Amino acid sequence: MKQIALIVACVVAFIGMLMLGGISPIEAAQTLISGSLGSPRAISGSLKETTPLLLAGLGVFFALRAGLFNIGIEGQFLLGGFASALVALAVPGPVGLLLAMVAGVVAGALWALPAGWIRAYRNGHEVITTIMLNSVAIALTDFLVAGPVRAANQTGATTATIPTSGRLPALLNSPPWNVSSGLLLGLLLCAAMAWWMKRRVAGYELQAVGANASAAEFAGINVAKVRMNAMLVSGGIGGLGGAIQTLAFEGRFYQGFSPGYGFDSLGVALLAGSNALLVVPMSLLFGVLSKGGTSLLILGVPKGLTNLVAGLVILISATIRYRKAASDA
Amino acid sequence: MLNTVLLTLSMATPLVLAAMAGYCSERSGVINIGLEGKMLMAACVSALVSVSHGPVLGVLAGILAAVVMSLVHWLATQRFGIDHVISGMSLNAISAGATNFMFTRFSDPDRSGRIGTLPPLFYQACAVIAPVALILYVGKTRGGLWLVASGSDPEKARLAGLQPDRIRLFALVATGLFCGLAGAYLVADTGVFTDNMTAGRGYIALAALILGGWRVGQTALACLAFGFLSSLNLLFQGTQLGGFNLPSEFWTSLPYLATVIALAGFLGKQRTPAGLGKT
Amino acid sequence: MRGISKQFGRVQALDNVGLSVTSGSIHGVVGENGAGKSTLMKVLYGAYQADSGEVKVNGKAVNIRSSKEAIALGIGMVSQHYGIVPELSMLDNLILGAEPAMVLDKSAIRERAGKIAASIGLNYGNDIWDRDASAISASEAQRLEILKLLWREARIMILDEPTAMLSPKDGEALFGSLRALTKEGATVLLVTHRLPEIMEYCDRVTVLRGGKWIADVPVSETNPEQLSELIVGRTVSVSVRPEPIPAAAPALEVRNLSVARDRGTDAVQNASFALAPGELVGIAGVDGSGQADLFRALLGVTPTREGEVLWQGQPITSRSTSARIELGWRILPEDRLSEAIVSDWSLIDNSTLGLHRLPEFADGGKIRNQERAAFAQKAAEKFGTKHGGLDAAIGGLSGGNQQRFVAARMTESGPKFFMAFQPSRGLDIAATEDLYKAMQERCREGASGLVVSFDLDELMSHCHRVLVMFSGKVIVPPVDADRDLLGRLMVGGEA
Repeated sequence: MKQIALIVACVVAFIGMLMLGGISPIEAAQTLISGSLGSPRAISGSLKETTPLLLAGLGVFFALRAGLFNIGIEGQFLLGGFASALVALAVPGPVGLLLAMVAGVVAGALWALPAGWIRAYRNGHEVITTIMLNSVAIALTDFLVAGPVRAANQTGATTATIPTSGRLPALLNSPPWNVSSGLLLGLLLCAAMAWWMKRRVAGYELQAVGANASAAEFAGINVAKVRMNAMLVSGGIGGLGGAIQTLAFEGRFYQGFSPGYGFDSLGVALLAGSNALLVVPMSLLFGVLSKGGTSLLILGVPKGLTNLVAGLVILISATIRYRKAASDA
Repeated sequence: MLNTVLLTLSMATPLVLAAMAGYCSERSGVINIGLEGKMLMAACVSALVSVSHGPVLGVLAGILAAVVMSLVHWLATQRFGIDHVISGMSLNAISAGATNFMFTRFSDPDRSGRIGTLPPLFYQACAVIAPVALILYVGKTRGGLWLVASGSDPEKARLAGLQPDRIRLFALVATGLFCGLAGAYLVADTGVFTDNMTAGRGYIALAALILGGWRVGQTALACLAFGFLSSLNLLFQGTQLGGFNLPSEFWTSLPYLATVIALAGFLGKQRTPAGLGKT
Repeated sequence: MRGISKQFGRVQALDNVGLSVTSGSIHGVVGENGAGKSTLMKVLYGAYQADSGEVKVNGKAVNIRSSKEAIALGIGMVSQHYGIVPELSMLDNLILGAEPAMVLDKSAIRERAGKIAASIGLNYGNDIWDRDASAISASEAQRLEILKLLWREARIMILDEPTAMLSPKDGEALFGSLRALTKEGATVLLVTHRLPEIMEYCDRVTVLRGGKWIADVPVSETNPEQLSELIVGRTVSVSVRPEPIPAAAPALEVRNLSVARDRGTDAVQNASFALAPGELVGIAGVDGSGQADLFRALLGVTPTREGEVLWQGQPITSRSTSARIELGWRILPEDRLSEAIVSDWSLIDNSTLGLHRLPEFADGGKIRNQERAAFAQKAAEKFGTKHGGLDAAIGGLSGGNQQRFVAARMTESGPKFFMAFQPSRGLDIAATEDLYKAMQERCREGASGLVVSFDLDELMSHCHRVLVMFSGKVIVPPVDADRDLLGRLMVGGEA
């Protein structure tokens, strides 16, 4: 119910902005839908946009369930994508592919480690640390890819391209259809997370910390440790998202690797609320918006519009959540 | 040498203004992740209005835009009880989106050349006056005392007969004012508005505030240091410095890294206002 | 003050209460928790509005609608937890909310502050005024609060449990300065539960009980025994009190346990006591005597500063909370919403909060859903929790029903040792009886139990033995201590 209200609010905001900009909402809606869902090619494109949002969204969601707001997902995503590109280039073939995925997870988790540690044991706000670490991550990967690991024969700041044998195979590749197995991995991870949260003691403890940390303490849960681990896992998932982006879609790492997946995934996770399975439709929604938004560029609708709507949706969803909390009390 | 000094000052100006904005907000107890968005909005609006109505109205409009954003932030945090961080983040996103949208839609694509603005010196003077004024205000007036009290312990401030809600409203208006100046300065300095032209300055200002221990003087010094870093970065780009060649990305990262280290408690006692984020 | 009544919801907090204080005197207001002392004072201070009644100050009828108006009338109040803002200096705290002008003339302020401090015999220089208020001790905070009243030129000073966090010596000094102030015409209203303070320093005392006025007597014409009787009242005879348990090797032993507090004296001071197997022991005492800190320390949630906790002869002081739960420890915490439940979780999810790692409910790392649902069912039935389905959020239940459920979680999960804090909170008499019956049943099966309550009668009629906490100390009275003795100990009287 809440989700539907949000989607309606989102659409209304979108239309309002369009009209403000002097664009016919009907025409815009047609373009948006045909550009994102109108053809097999468009659908494939939307699913491609959905994949990183799904994974990064799951990462944010995981931390959120422990009561932590991992804004650092952008940095973890970047580091994961970068590390996996390096490993995949160094080790060829399926072994390299596997190692590259692991490298992505490890890199993402390591990048989240300082924020987790500072939150758990130094009581420093994870939001501030992760914002700072995001900026460092961008600077670090920009530098490395422009200098030390830049491909010799390339003009832009990018790594070399990973050979096809070292990439994630497509799940379905019969043009115009093209669906990556990365999406499948994301879906499996989502199902696993939903199961873990519901059925495992550790998932129970994680959510107890997120919902009521002092009660969790009285229940014998090591709150600091749970927070630390939650941040590591969240970062690891963000890193995996980056790795999949590299290995399934981009085939390399370059400056500007993430056009803001980190931020959109915050919206995805906030909208999913308490149910991991809802991360799927929410990332799909953002994926469709993102792909459709690209088509809207032709109409003269600036790309900032999707950002604007995402921000509004987050603000509105937070307001609704507050209303609910107030009526409970 | 003179070159470095001038460049440092010019780099530090928006940082100081934004950090003072953050100071007002955080001292009153409102966590302000949204400095970036408020600056960006102010930059965009002041650029648009400067073109159509001249530089003075441009600056005023920029300030007004940032103040409006601040008021939304106040409503969200103090009236609707939304998490300070989430509301700040979404304000940033709304700004990034809205400015891109507005500028592409409303600016005249055929126009060229610099946007007419107030001289940068005006803003630099503001950046000098603002910290001094704040130090005097906080140290010497009733309002300053109230500001610090409401950020330190809103509950006890209420016991003493203060109204933290209202104090935060004024503080956020001041935040808007300073962010407005900071944003308008970016346009005055470069003569154009570009997409995402704040480029993280709102976060660097926040970093300076944290490193400065939420104290005006130290925060302004941190901003100067960051300005100096960026000017070195610009001046020595590509040149060898005594055998070392530290990449520019290293210099850009320094403020952020320093903040993380400070938050980990490695740079002495943390001085976060105790009532930050509380009602 | 005459005929003051105040209702909160269905609770009559004050019922036609009167209070008359001569200026230039120290007037005590005493009563148990919930007697209405603080409510009455807050009405006078304008923090609450009375439903009926009238207030006269210096013979003139006044209508105090806010604290601001009270301050304007020369009424000031120091609340129990102090109103000192940590990041300001002492001087800034002194003037906060009562600044002389928009622009602060610090030298004039310092001058007047110095004079005020000197008037109660304090020699405060700039070094003291400039200190950060977060670094000051409890007694300094208390003095600062008095100075704040003087700065505001309060002629009527309300002090709510001013010595709660002070050492006896600092308490004495405080009363010394209060005496000096009354000589100059100030009037002091002292809310306390400590009879020695009344006897020693007050001129008159008003006794409240259950929101009603009970007595108003000059201190010179009364004695501690009479006062404690007036405070607790003669209630219905204590019902069947369980026979004491014969001495045995203790199940739980606490040796010289001290728990630190942020500021001031230790919250728990050098506590030593033991529980025999099968023994249900009550801890009586007024609220804020250190029970909560003892409770948390025993559970391992807050660290102990000194001392030892032994369980069946083994030291477990450094064990984690979850290790204690594994040993068979169960709790019913004080603050239900923040310590005992997760409001938006279902009853099923809440049923195992704290028990979730026990083998009954976890198979390796896997939650045993059927066992959990069965336990939730059992826990809900035990004390008749009314609920809209075990899958519904516990936050939707009334406080009493939540308490029934959480209480059953403690008694029905095979405790070897249990700690309950105010277990009857939100329960009616029948449910309270059921709960104590269940606790006694567990004790007959060999468990030991510790119950904290502010209601002495409740403890006396259900526990084998009653200990008393007063001002951070655990007093172990004789097993056959009677009600009068326990009541006296609770308010700091002598044994």
